[in-house]
Amino acid sequence: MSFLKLSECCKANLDTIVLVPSAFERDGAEQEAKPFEERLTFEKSGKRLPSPFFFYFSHTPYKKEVKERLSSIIKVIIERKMAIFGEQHTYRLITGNLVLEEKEDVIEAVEYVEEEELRQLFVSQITPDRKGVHIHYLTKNFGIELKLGMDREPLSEELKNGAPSHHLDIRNLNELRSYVKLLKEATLYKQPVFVSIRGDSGYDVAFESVEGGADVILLRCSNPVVEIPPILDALRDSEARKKGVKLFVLSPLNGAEDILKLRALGADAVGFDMCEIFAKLKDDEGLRKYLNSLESELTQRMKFYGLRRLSSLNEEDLRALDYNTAALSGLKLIGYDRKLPMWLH
Amino acid sequence: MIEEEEGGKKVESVPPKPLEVNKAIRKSLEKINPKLDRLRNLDYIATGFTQEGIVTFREAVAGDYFGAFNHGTTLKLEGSAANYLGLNLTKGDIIVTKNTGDFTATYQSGGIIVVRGNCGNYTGQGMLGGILFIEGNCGDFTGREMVDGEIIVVGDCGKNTGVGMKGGAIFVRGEIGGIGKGAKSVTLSTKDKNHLQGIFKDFELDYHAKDFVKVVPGVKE
Repeated sequence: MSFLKLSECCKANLDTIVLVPSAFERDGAEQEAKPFEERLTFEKSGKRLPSPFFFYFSHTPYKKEVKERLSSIIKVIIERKMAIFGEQHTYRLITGNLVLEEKEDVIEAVEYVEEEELRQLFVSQITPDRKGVHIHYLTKNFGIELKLGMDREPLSEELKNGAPSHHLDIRNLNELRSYVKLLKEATLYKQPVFVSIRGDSGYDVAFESVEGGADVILLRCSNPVVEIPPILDALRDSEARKKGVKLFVLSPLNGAEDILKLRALGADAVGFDMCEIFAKLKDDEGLRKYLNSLESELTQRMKFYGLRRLSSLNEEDLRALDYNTAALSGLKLIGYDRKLPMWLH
Repeated sequence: MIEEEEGGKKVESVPPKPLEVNKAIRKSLEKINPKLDRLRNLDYIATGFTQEGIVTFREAVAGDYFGAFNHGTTLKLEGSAANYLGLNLTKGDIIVTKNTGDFTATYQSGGIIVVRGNCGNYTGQGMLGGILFIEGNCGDFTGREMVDGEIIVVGDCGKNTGVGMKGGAIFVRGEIGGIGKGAKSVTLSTKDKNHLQGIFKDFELDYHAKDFVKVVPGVKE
């Protein structure tokens, strides 16, 4: 049984951990917190993101009803100054530069987003195995996201039969490291490189990415409680935290409390999946209301805990509610108030 | 580390980093067409260039990713290169006088790459456009998964040529070790011959289009 399946059986997730209010300093409680306006600085490239929240496109939205809502929703995100992760087709779709083959599919009435505004917040997704990308797509936007592990087949098995493959991915960790370095070199180290990995990719991929020069590890995970600690270990071992390497986490969220828990677990920024946003919220007003309510809830929770800044949270402020969660995550067990013996090394 | 004689003493000099070399080339490209001597095994050289101009590398051995992500600059490499030459090339030319490693011209979508020597495996993998001209031989999996563009091989090709190709064409003059799944070889039509002859004329080469066969996507009959 794999580690992840074990974690599912044991039901270690965000619900089985809890924030401990007494652990926080209450000095800043009188001043109002502004969690959506905490800036993130990328020390290597000298760039800044105005908000520690981001929106993530897993796929290009081709459905007509989604496209009709796309630009208005994007405008709300730009107003909020949050980063947007999307691939080349998504970028063109947002800016109105995408030429579709079926002409009746093009929506002329949509008012497209200004490119200059978008560029400061747009992170260009590339997969190493899919389509050529233009150098301007890499250099003109905020940063580059290298998307790994998108349902790829292993190359070696296909080659044995000489069969055509559907996808060609990076085949080993050395290639990953050299590809990350290529992106840094080709952009003269001016663009932050985000390496986005799946939750089960774990320690090795994160370690090699950081060694290659990645500025951010973006973790797409379903169970952050057990999937974040190996990544943090990799960042610690490569001394990446000292160099300013950040951890972004994209995970299913269930309110402001989850955001606080993710930040305490070690995430520097927390993401929202655009697929969920399109499914839940019908229009830009819906998104605006959702973000406003989330912000007020978050501010309220922070006030309750006596927090002024999200960045002051750390794993010392968390407790595991049961033995299994403490064993899998390395957090202190509630009541016992210490880490379990196997984590004390 | 390179050791040099200087006033009778051996001095160890630290080789330059790719970033320093690339910055220097970019700066000099604004005024002149620069020429560099004896570049040795440096990866990531001439990557992400967008300026118009010609850069010549004399007596050079380039490392991996030479000319990757380029758009517009012409690169002349008098020597050989390692893997991933011209990765994601969108515009501009790359001319190599000797051999190249694996994955040459992967995801090339424009421009022209000319290799006077041989190429390794996976040459022209996933090509989306442009022309790749090889005067020597190619390894296995030439034109794998290519979508568009042309690969012209004067020498021989290895096994699984054109495996999984969806578009474009591979012209081969020598022997083909084996054609991969999803591809077939056909004889050249008059239109193809004229097109190929036009390319030879542009490159000032003395080859005849009638000697070539064409590998295209399709099922073998």
